[in-house]
Order: sequence, then C-alpha cells, then structure tokens
Amino acid sequence: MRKILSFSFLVIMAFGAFMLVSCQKPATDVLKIALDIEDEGRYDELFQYFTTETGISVQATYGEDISKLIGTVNEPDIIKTSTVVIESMQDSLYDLTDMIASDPDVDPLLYIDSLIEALTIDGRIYALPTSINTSLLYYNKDLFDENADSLRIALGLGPDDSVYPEAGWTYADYQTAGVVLSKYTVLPDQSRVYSQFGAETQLNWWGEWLVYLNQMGGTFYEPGTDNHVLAITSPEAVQATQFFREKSMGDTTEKFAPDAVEAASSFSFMSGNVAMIFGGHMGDWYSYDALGMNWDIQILPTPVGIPDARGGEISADAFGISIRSQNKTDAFKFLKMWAGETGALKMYEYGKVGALKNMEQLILALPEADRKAINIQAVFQAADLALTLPREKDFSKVMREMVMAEIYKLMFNGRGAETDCLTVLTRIKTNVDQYYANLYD
Amino acid sequence: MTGEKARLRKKNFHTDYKYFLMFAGISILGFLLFYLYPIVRTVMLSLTDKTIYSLDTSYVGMDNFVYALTKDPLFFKSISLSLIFASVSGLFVLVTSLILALLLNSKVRGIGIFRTIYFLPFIIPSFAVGAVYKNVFNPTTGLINRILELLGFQNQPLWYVSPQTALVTMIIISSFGFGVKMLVFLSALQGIPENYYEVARIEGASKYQMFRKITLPLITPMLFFNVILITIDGLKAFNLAFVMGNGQGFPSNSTLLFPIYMFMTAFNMPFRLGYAAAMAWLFFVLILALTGINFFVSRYYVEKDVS
Repeated sequence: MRKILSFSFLVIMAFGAFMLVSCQKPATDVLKIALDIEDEGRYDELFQYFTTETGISVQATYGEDISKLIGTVNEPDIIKTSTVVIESMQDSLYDLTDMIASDPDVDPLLYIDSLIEALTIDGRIYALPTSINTSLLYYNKDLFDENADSLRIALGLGPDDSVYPEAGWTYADYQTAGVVLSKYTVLPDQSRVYSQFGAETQLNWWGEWLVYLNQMGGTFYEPGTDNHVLAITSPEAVQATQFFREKSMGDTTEKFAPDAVEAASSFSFMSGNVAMIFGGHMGDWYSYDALGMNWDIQILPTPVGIPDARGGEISADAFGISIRSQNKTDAFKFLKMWAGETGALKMYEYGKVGALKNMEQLILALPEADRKAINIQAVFQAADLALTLPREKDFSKVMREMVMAEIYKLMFNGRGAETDCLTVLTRIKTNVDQYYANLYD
Repeated sequence: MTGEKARLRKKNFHTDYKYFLMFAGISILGFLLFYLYPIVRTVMLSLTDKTIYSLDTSYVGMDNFVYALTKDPLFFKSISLSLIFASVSGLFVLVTSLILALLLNSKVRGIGIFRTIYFLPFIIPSFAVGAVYKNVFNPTTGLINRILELLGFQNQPLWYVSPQTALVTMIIISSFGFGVKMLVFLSALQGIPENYYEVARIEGASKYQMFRKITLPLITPMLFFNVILITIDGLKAFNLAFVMGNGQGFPSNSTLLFPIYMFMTAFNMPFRLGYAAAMAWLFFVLILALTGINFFVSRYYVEKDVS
C-alpha cells in the first residue's frame, strides 16, 4: 500500500511540476512570434541578425493558429495580421502611432500609401506591412514557348514579337491566348476531354471574381451604405460574373479554363497543365520555384472597351505588437527592422516583396544573380493600379459563406448547377443584405 | 462501546476517503480542469459578445441564442445537415456493423484476420480516410465513376463536387466507420450461450427465426448503446466534413455540418466566440433531447432481462 501511495504522490508531484513549468512567466529578453507553417526556417537568418545586433532572441513558432494563442501564456509579442483582418484584431494590437512618431528611423510615408492607410484605424497605426500581395497575371513560359507559332497567328504577332503576355493585354488577348493554350481531344460524341487549359479559375477563392467585378466598373458594396448593402446586381457585376463563368463553361465563348469538375481533377497552374492564373497569390512564388517551374508575371489584362479600368486587389501581411506584450520596446525594434529595408531584402530571398515604396529600386540594386528572373516591375505597376480590399469585419465571412457558395453553382454542369448569373447574384444580394440588416439593426 | 464503534466507523470513513481521493484524485482534477472549467466558461461566453481578439466584452444576455434561433439561416441549415447526416449514416453504420459482427461471429478459419481487416479502417485517421476517398470519388478520374462508366452508366454522379450529392458522398464514406460499433455487437453476440441456438435448432427454428427470437433480443442492450454512440458520433462529426468540405462546407455549404459551422464562426473572421458558444449550447440541448428520446424509445425494444 505504501508503494501505491508513494507512486500516486510522485504522479501528482510530476503533474504539478508540469503545470508549474507550463505556467511559468516567459523570459523577458526573448521575443515570441507565431508564423505560418510554410515560413518555417525562412527567417532564421533574420532572427539571428537581430539577435546579433540587439542581444534579443527571437523565438518563433510555426503553424500555430494565432487566434488560439491570444490571451494564453504563449501569446506572441509580435502578432501577424493583415490589411484585411486588422479591424477584427484591433483590440489585441498595441497602438504603434506614438512609437513610430518618436522614432526617426520609421516613417509611414516610406510604405505604399494604400497599405499604410489600410493599417490605420481612426488615425492610429496598429501594424507595419512586411510583404504585399497584389493581383497579377502569372504564366508558364514553357507552355507559351511550346505554342509560340499558334499564339503568334492568333494574336497577330510578328516573328520577332514576344508571345508572352504584355502590359497592354486586354481580356480579348487573354481569352485568345487561353484558347490557343487549351488542349483537348474530341470524343465520338463530340465532347472534349481536356489535357491542358489556358487559364485557371480559382473557384474556392473569391479574389478572382472580385477583380473581374472591379475591373468591369462594378463595386461590391453600394457606395454610401457603410459597406452594408451589396451592389452586385449592377450590369457591370452581371457582365463580370458572366465572363468569370463563361471562360470555364464556354457557353457563348470558347472555353479556356477548367470548370468545377475539371478543377477537382488536378488542373492547376502549379500542376503544370494550366498556362495562366489570373490574380494568383504572391505567396505561391516560393512553391513555383521549389517545383522548378519556368514562370513569369505581368499586370492584369483590362476589359475590352474599359482601358482605364482599375487593377486587381492589393493586401499586405503586416505585424503588430500584442497589447499584452511585456516587451513592447524590443518588439518594436524587431518590427521596424523586419518592415524596413533589411527585413524586406531578406524576405525577398524567400519570394516575398516588401511594402516599401522604394522596393523596386532595392531589388534592382541587387546583383543580378540575387534577383529573381521575373518581370518584377509588373508587381509595382499592378500595386499602383490595385484597390485595397474592404476590411469590414464580416467581409470575409460574407464572401466565404454567402457569395462564393452561390457563385460556385454557376461553375459546373449537372444537378445543383445554375446558369443565370443575375438570378444567382440577386439571391446573394438578398441574403447578404438581410444578414447585415439583422447584424446591425 | 458505542463510542468505540463510532470511532472505528469514523476511522474507516477517513481511510476510505483517503483511498478514494488517492485513486480518483487525478481523474477529478482532470475533470475539473478539462471538462468542468470549459463547460462553465462556455456558458459565460455564450452570454457575451466576446470575439477572440477583443479585450472588452459586453454582457448580451440571451441575444446570441435569439439571433441563432431567429436570424441565422446557416445555423438551421447546419443543424438540419447534421441531423440528416447523423440519421442516415447512423442507420447505415448500425446495419453494416451488425451484419459484419454476425459474419465475424461465425466459426471459420482465419476469423481473426477478417476481424482485423474490418477493424482496420477505424484506426486510420479520418483526415487520411477523407483524403483517400476524395480521390476515389473524383468525378472524372476517380475509381467509382470509372467502374460506373465500365458498367455503362451515363452521366455519373459528380459526388463531392456538386452541392446536390456532396452530403450523400460523405454519408457513403462515413458508413464505413463501423469499427467500434461492430466490436460492441461482436462482444454481445459472443456472450449469447450456444445452447440457446442448439435448443432452437432441435425445435426446428430457421436461421431467421433464431436471429429474430434469440439473437436480436439478447443484443438489444448493446444495440441501444450503439444507437446512442452513433447518434452522438454523427452529430459531432467534424474531421471527415472538414476534409471533404475544405473546412468551409464546400461546395456551396452543402457539407456545412454544425460542428464545422461552429468552428468557422469561432475561428474564422470575425471570430465570434460568444456566438459560437451559444450555438454549442443550443446544439448540446438538441443532442440531449435526442438522447432522451433514444432512452424513452429504448423502453420498447431493449430486453431488460438479458441475463
């Protein structure tokens, strides 16, 4: 019995010790930061540099959901946010305005205006942008080269002209190239089995549709409604949705993108069987390189007849300081290094582009061997044309649960499919307007 | 004498209590920390407008509950999808696990191997199962539609790609999750004395009559246990729906089971923890009610005097 008692006592003591260790106060000379799983190892050199310069260690965790760390003993000092979610996270972020104002090394004017504006709420800055994402046209150079002759004929190019997408491309050029780059065999019943597509359609993400909507002159929210009433039944929105649909379904135009069923069968830019992505994510650069793809970028094409149409979207990963951090001063030192030139250049090595206005010059000043062999100017041209996304708290929920859920039904044939864009858009508007009315009444 | 008795009783009580605490202490601590605290915390959260990132929360009374019950169509949609999923897949699981248990209870060579094979899917993580079945049910390249094509079927289903068939696909896949239920039935079947069947055979009973009059009544306590287990499992289903629906009820909210919707509400923008907690309590009430109904109905089919 005594043995059992001793054993139980030991177990309880071990449990208690474990709890105490778990709850112990963290060392104050260590900065904690939570990063995405794909960032693992990418910034080790940057952390090391910071430690060497300041004597402060940076302890990074990867792949842990920041929303589950907030308010716990493991809450990071430096919190990842973005221009889209900052309003939702505002309460947990320390107001950086005074720190920025009193530090001669940090100037908000150094950052792309629209991004620093998006990170400013009621005149107060809550985070500094570290890398941008803007809508671009991505293309697989190998697939373009393989079809160079056909592309020249279809696009009316001379023998010495480049077949790659140009800055002046319109939707018509994009569509023509897309059709040429789509490969299929015709079955006896005249149906087509595609082995390659000209462009990818991103059905699980609202970004591409929203860009079409903006480029064709539409808006998502009705102006002057405090972002609570949708404007998606406008003729421009219907036209945009039709274009989005028809490139995959080929109702009135030649099909050049996979529909929902084909997209489920591994047709993607990253798989190498799709030649272009309209509005792909800059976060994927690292993966494209890792896969050994021969890729490049161009600014988005503009709709026919709307040459002054606005570009795509722009957003930024940004980092702020936890309001509960015991290390705010050190955290700010790290933040300004990361969001500054040192950090931006280090992140560029890993395929990210900083949010500094002079980023283009910084990149062009690098030795050629250190520069990516892509049309980097396109990023900054696109950024100039782009719109920031609404940071309205419910925007992402509305898009995910109400907008894309319905638009998806336009993107395949078979039971459950829809064909009339206006009907679908009207239903979305009714549901979303009702949602906002219930939420704010 | 009386005083001595009382002293002894008191001593015994103290000794018993000491042992009780010693053996149950860790469990009680675990219960308090990992069950009672979250339960109390969830009740408190459900009465606030707490979001993950907010520091100040306001007491909103029953507003979250009223909003869910009167203004949130996705709440009702997710509840109804969960009920459909739980009842249909539950029925499949119940029937298949009983049939398999009956087969595995037979005396054939190498029965252990068959038992292992049928139990195997249960020990594979459901995330992996979902990923594999996504390939199997791919409308153009998947094995199922290839077989249907070979058999001459035109217009094969779009399975998880279409909102009309995505839930059905998930139900079919989850119907293979009979592992534990099959074992429960098997243990019940093995507890039935062989002489009952011998007597029935002598009396000339058919196999169906033996099943109807001997097997079924004697396994009803385990049948009831399985019904409860399956109902709760089905309503709480998360992993498979998360994989099949890309964590978002894909396509078009057709696989938006309630646990997925609750997760999305709490951990996606705008991170409404308070509202998600209120939904969790409403769901708890639903599960409680269904379990209560199960208990009530069990009076009519569970054989009490099995021993």
